[in-house]
Amino acid sequence: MKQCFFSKNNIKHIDYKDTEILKKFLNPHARMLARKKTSVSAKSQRQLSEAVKRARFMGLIPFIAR
Amino acid sequence: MQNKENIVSETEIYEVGYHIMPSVLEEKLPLEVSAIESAIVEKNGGVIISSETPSKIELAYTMAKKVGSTRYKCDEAYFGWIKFEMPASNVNTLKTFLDAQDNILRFILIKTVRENTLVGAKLLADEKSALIPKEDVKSELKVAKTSATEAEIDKTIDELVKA
Repeated sequence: MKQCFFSKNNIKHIDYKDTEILKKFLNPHARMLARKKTSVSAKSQRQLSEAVKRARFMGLIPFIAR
Repeated sequence: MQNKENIVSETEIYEVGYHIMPSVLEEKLPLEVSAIESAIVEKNGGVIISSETPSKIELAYTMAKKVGSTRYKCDEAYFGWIKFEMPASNVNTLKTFLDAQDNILRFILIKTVRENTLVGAKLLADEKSALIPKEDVKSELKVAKTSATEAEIDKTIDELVKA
């Protein structure tokens, strides 16, 4: 069973400015990947979704990409 | 003691991320930053923990800001952030100050933690560096192996010559 990326790297707070990390969890259309695919823990997935939404609002990552 | 605890509990750690309009000249950026900093420290009794000076970035999509009757469209902006500690009661005044700024294209005011939360660049650099030495070790091993075999070959040649 694959381990959660954030617990493996001891990341307790996901920063919206860390776009390189956030992009790992987006598909080519810039939509978030499901936990089933990424094996992210439920807690981290909630933090990740918050960070992604903040980064989108600040124009650091796109809302949609084609 | 109780008073101290009350004061500590009233303050929170916040972070403001902001985009300054690209129309602002690069020489005048420090003025904009100091205006935000003074609003945090002097007007609202905040203490700055860490910050990053604004740098020009390309935005993922076009943002618009209405100043007066004109609507400015921006594809790039100067992005910077400041992490600070502030009494929770003063945050609203800071927000209204930032809302009123014409040179701030957009901002985000969030609750955060005192520790450094930006780990992406370091993590990715570590991942890359972790990949490079492995190759080096492999090549070193290969070199060591070949040198050993060369010595062995020399020995065997010497033995053959002697014989």
